[in-house]
Amino acid sequence: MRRGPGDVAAARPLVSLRHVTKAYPGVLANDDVSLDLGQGEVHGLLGENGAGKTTLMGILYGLHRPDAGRILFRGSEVAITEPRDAMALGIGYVQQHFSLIPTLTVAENLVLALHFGGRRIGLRESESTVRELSRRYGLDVEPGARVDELSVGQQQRAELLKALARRPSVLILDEPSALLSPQEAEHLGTVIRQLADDDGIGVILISHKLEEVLSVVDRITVLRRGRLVRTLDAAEATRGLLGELMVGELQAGEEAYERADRGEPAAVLEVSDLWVRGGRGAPAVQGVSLTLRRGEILGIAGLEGSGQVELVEALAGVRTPERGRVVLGGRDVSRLPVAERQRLGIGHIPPDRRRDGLVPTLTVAENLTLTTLGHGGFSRFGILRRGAIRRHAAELVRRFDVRVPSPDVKVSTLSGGNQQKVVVARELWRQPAVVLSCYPTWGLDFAAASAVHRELVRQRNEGAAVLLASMDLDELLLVADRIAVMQGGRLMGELPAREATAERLGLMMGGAG
Amino acid sequence: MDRHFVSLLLVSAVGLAAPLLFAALGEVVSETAGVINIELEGMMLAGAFCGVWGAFESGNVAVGFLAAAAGGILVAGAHGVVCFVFRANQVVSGVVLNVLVLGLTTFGLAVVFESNLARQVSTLENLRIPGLASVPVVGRAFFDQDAGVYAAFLLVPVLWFVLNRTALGLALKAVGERPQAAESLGLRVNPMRWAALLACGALAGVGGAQLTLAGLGAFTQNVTAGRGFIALAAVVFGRWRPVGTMAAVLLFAVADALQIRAQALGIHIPYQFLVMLPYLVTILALAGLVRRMRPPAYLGVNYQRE
Amino acid sequence: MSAFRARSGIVWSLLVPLVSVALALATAGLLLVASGTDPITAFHSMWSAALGSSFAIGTTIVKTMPRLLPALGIGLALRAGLWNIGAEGQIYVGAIAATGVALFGPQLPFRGTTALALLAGGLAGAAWGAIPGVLRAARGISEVITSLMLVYVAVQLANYLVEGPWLVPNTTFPATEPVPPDSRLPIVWTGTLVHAGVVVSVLAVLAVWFVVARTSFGLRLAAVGGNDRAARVAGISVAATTIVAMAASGALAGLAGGVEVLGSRGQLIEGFSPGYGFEAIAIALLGRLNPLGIVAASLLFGALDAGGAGLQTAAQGVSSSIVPVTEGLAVVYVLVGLGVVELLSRRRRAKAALEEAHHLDVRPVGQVAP
Repeated sequence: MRRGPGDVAAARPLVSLRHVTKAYPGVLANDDVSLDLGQGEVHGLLGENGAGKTTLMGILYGLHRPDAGRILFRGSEVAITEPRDAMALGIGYVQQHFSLIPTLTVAENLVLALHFGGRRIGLRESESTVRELSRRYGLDVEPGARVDELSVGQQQRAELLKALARRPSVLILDEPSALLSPQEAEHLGTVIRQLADDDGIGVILISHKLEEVLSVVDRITVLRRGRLVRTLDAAEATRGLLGELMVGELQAGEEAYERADRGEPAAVLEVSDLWVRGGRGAPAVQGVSLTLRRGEILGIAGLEGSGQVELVEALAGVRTPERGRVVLGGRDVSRLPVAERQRLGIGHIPPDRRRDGLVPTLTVAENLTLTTLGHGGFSRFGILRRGAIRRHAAELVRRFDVRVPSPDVKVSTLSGGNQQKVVVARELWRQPAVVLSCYPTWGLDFAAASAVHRELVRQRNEGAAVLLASMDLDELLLVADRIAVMQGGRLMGELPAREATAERLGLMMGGAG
Repeated sequence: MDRHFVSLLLVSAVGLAAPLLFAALGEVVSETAGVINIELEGMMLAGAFCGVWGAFESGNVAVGFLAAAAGGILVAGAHGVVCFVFRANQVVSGVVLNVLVLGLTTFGLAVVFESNLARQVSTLENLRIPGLASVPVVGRAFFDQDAGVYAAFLLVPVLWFVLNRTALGLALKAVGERPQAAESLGLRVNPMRWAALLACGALAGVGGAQLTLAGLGAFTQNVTAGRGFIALAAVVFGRWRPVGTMAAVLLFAVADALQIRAQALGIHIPYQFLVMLPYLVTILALAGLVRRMRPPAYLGVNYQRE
Repeated sequence: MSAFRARSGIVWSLLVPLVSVALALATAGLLLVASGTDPITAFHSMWSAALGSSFAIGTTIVKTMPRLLPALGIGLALRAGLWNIGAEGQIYVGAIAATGVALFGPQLPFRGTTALALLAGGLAGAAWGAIPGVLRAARGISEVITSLMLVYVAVQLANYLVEGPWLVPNTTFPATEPVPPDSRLPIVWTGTLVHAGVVVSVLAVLAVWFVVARTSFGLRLAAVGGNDRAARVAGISVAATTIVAMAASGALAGLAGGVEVLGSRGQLIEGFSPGYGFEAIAIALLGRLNPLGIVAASLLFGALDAGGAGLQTAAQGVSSSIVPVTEGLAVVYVLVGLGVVELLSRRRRAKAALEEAHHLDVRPVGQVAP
């Protein structure tokens, strides 16, 4: 039973965030954000990655301290400096990264969670609480099982039970269905409504799945680059409107790139029946087959956790596939190490430049040399040719427009956009036959993102086969020639970019099936 | 090997095990919470020194043990300040504190006892438990020992209970396994780690005193002679659990006792190979050749909010 | 701006160790006062024994070598983010191998046996160091505990040899026969104890500096140490780098063992290393992983050691143990000092980030109108 918009507006808000601001080095994660949550309301919080949703919720839960702003609870100002304070107010938080202790059982985790929330129960009582809550909400969890032996879906349920056992008045759910099957996700939606309607809990739901959000929430707040764009009632929201609010309209000055004609049939990279395990050991890529052709950009659209990252890593050699073939120029490279694949003509722009791309303690010039240490003119008999390295770095800095005082400064002093340009320059200057790129514009501003797009298009025009994995449909619609959709580790289908629309891709991505 | 020999071997093994057991159990607490103490040796040495000093000044063995705990806590406190407040690497801090404590106790030996010859103090007396002590073979080993030995072994079930059956134990595990998650559960990670570290210091200090006050009755330079490292090995070999650690300590102590008596026995294994046994089996155990095991996930990693 | 930052970094990395050493000496002075010793007399006798004459300076140099070589190796491994806590053990196996070759190996002309013995020492140390490296690369086991455990295995191995098969017949002092004079490192500074190990040490410093600063392997080490995941994604073999780094680190420590036996002691003696390998960890840190810094820190520790010996003979009742106290304090102060610098710069960075992000106004919490 959903409320009318008036109900929520009339009720005094349970929680109010007022003018919250939080800065991290180089980014303003939250900039003057205000948000109200009513009793029994399900409030969707939407935005791209890096829009500031998780930071905002972290502030509400006492994990981060805001630089400015205040929090009102039932109308009076409260100081939440650590999670204990939030818990004492009845705020529960189910995080994206589980807060269960993997080496303990579900019941033990519950004892721990309640104990430091001020309620002391024994193991036996904890077990019966788990059983009772399982029954009540239809969330099946075995209390005696060790968490690290549970499936991801079971862990998600245990996490939710743990939050519910504290009898919260406010519940924050961060991407609760990201790792669930469509059936599990649908059931979760029912549970969320039950919590709001029957128990009067105010729920804040963060999700990337627009359909899911639209089907359960009362109101929606959209964040973009740390700012609040708009808060609207679910009734007035549509997929298209939300997408536009989240991503922004295609910004003025965005050049339209010419599409490649599909005239070049030459397959450069052929992938057949590829299976790859993800970080948790679960199969992340399940039987993917695809072909990359010369002179085209193949977009892979997908949500977080769809298996894009693992697919690209397996192609680049960072991850070893379970089975399947990756054929590059007639040769199976699926078991070759990264360096060998680089030599055979693969360039790889990894998903997270700070984690996977750069060594922060090294200079720009050194970072630019990392992939070519073993050969090229940069070392002879293992001795670095520093002059050549510096000249080369200076050349790349100019060509790829990296804004940097000198190639000898530490790469960590660069802005995000310039860091990404360093990665792009290192991977693409040799004009690799195959370009693998994963989230290459993640967290970049418009100008830096455009520079990356232009470079990918240029590589294609010069004959490279480019794979672009992205969560951003507009990006794919802008530069890709073909777009395949990935979900749950499988390719769901493929459209020529000319025929693709955000609507059609979204339906394929959102797990409508 | 006759029964008499086995009995004597066990008596000395159990006695040798007690100092190790105190320190190793302390280290179990600390490592469970994610703090590694390479300076366990230094904690024991400080305890051994302060124990004799306290007993010497007061003429009372109990005061000696209290002073020993204080000495261990002091070393632990230094480790905590350097690592938690100034965020230094725990391994480096541990290594350096070992050097420092060895120097300080040697220096103190000269100053406090006014000569390099250690003053003799009275030691703990054996408390014979009538009846049980007469059980053949194991009776004397387990029921005719001093109070320190009984305390060390009684600590095992106590610690087992705390770690496995109380919220405090679960919290310690959470803090060592997933500090971020523990924080979001409302636990205060660094205060918990401080508590675990100081408890470890106290226990290791008492372990050092057990060496000097229960046995030798005097402090000599570097009297612990690597026992802290053996205790560290026992924690790994005992898979970070109290009972397993006790088993490891007993195994190492038997090897030590055997080493002392090897010649009497006519065993022709050079004793040095028995001495290296604890270290070798620990490496093999870590390598998974004996049994695969996993330390707490955040062992040795300092935690900072934000 | 960034140039300024770089310069202030250099200032800190000199200032922190210098201030720490000064504070450590001051603290040691206070301890001496507290123990009823005149610190001026004590420090004076330390000074004479460490630097007061050419013989004293020679002694300082001799005491520097067994600390310098392992510290270089520890610094090398640490560049790759690896903790070689077991240098002490690598020193022992190096000494065993060098002694074995010198005593039982072929007697070669032109100091060939010496070279061969040093090589054997280095190789033995490399093998001992490679074990934790392999275990880490292949099975993901932290090198900290394994390298530490191997120390005591090596020490007992040496004990076994000098008390057993290599013990001089009909003696009880646990030591081997002296190595033949032709196999020893010759004295290179007459009138002092300085032997040719000093040449080996200088070459090692240059070699380590060259590898770190000028070779692709040095860059790989730094990449693995700076971000091992990015290094792997860039095609660098983290496993191979780990193993080679630990082996190289062990080789330098093993070389130190060989130099100590063939240069200073002339025979393998039980317990000949009073913890050089552990001190070397402190030295590597005090020297901030920079080869020149490590040379300076080793000289400091060598001088303290030489001075300590003078202290024991000169001042009645003062223990030379004030030396390890000073060493330990110096490094504890360095750790604290580095922590302070980091805390200050973090605070500065956080403030700068906020201002930068806001462009203009920084509003503290609680001063915002609703």
